Amino acid sequence: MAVVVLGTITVTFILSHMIPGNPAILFAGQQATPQEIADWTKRLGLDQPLYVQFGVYLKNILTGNFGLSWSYSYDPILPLIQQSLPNTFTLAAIATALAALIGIPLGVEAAKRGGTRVDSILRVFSVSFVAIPQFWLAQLLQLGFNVYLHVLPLSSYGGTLLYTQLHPIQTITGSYLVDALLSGNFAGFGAIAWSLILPVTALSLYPIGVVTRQTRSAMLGILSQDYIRTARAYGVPERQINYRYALRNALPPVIVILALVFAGSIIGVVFIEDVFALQPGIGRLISQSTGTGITSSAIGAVDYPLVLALTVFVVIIYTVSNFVADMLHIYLDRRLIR
Amino acid sequence: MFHAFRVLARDPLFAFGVGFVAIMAIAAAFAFYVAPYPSQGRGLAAEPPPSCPGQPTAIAGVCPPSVAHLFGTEQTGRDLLSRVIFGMRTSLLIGVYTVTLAVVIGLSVGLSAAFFGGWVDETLMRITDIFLSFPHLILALVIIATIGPGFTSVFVALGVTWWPSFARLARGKALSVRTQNFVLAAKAAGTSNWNIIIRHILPNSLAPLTVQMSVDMGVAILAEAGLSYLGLGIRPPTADLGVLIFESQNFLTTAWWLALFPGLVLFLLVLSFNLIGDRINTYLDPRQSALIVKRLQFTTPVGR
Repeated sequence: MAVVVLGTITVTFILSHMIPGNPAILFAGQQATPQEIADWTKRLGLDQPLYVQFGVYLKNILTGNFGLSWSYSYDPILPLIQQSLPNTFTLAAIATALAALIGIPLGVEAAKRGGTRVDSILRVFSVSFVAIPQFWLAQLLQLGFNVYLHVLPLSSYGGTLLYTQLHPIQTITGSYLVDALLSGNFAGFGAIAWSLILPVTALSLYPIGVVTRQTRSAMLGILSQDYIRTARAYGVPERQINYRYALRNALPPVIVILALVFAGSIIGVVFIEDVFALQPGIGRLISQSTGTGITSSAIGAVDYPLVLALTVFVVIIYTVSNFVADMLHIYLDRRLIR
Repeated sequence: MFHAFRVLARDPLFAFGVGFVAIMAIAAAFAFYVAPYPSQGRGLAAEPPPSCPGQPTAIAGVCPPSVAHLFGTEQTGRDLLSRVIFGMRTSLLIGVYTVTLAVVIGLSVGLSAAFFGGWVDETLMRITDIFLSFPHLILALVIIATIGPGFTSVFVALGVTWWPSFARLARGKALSVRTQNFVLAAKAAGTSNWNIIIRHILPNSLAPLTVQMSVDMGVAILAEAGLSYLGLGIRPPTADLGVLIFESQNFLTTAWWLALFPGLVLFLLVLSFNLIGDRINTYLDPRQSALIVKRLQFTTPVGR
């Protein structure tokens, strides 16, 4: 785990030195005098040897100093990310929960009826869910439910902004949805939840498809085993066989997939937050930092410090999820401890 | 091989996948003849811009579908059908380039690891693990943000992040091939390492990679569209499905066809590759292929 994070930091460090142009000039401004540029070079530590720069970079990251963002008026990066994480985590958590609640039962059904028409239909659905481009699905949902049916709002927190100004939401965790619930602002909670229906749908179809397929293949391996036949011979109810005896043994690989789904949702969020104009959020930061998102100010202006900081962050989320998945796997499947 | 294809082709979903990919590949190859307005497909503005009388959306040449323009027209009056055909061509090309690059890197790493063993194997596989636990898209995103967007950037960025699964597959297969008698014989005869890898181990390690290639074509195409959608892939005026979907965002409330058609083609293309890969996987997995055979017995006369 540590190796992966260290590798990432190394890669981002190397990339940060491949940026076209001199960072000192970018900070000092185009009309800067040679003296000013020299000052910035010194201040940014660019006059030091590479290994010293790497050491400083590593130390800064470990102490939470990710530098200054270029696109957010030279604000420190860490607070920007901290402010964005809760909302994104909420979206990813809801998508993962839906994937588990819908995907696992669908997978069990598909495996139970393996080879039948139901299985085929479920297969078509799960393969389709995996193949739908999320940003296109998001637009289709907007088109259908807002433009034609006029039932759900087009953009999310933005659509409720007016409302939240009238009934301000206390900041507790930083996630709008959770804060509204915790502070007992149920009207606000309802409004935000209502506006999140489309984004969450667009975000969770892919994980649902993945989890369905994974559950199905894990269940198929279990259902053909002897102990299931024994249980059946004893007349144990079919439902109990499927959900208590078979699913429990099929679950470990599914849990691993769920952890990956959670981490993967952080990537999906880039598109979803962009299409639905959800702010603040990690996805929004990513599309903003690459200078090319729908709502970004200047096209082509890449905010390298922010991009590199976000990369390190996403990789940390990824590796931590992976690690948690591995631990859960071992906890659920004691045979792995030797 | 031929028998496998015949068994698989009886599955309507597999047949659909192969059929759709084949049609798209032909349309892409002959895009200049198939597209109704090839010059517009390549990004030139329509001369003169089409007028759509009585249509409220006639802003900047955006017209709803008609007989002359089956998918409607987009900004500056370009025929959307032509744009979609050329965009799909871009997608397929990027998919092929990405997967090819990934296979080349993956094979080199995997085969070297398997053949030389020892510390070479250990080092190469640890690097592979690091890349494998890395989110593809975010790495590609950073690379492109650094080297700048464009056709080459996209497939290079995707290719260099994509190879680990191929490296693993190739290594696994090559490990079993390496101990076979014909390899030992070649070694005893004094064949050089390079020759053994290229002439003996490589051809025997390719088969398991084909399934992965099919699935990855779909995923790579999707990733490319996503990057282009974010403005980090193909840049307009070159036709690209991701860019077309991005541009439709501004017309969502007025011109539904701009969002619908490019996305539909993209979705069906990815779906087809996934269906092909999924089916071959099922066929190769003995646990699951029993189910197919069982089902086929109900649908086809016994004895063939």
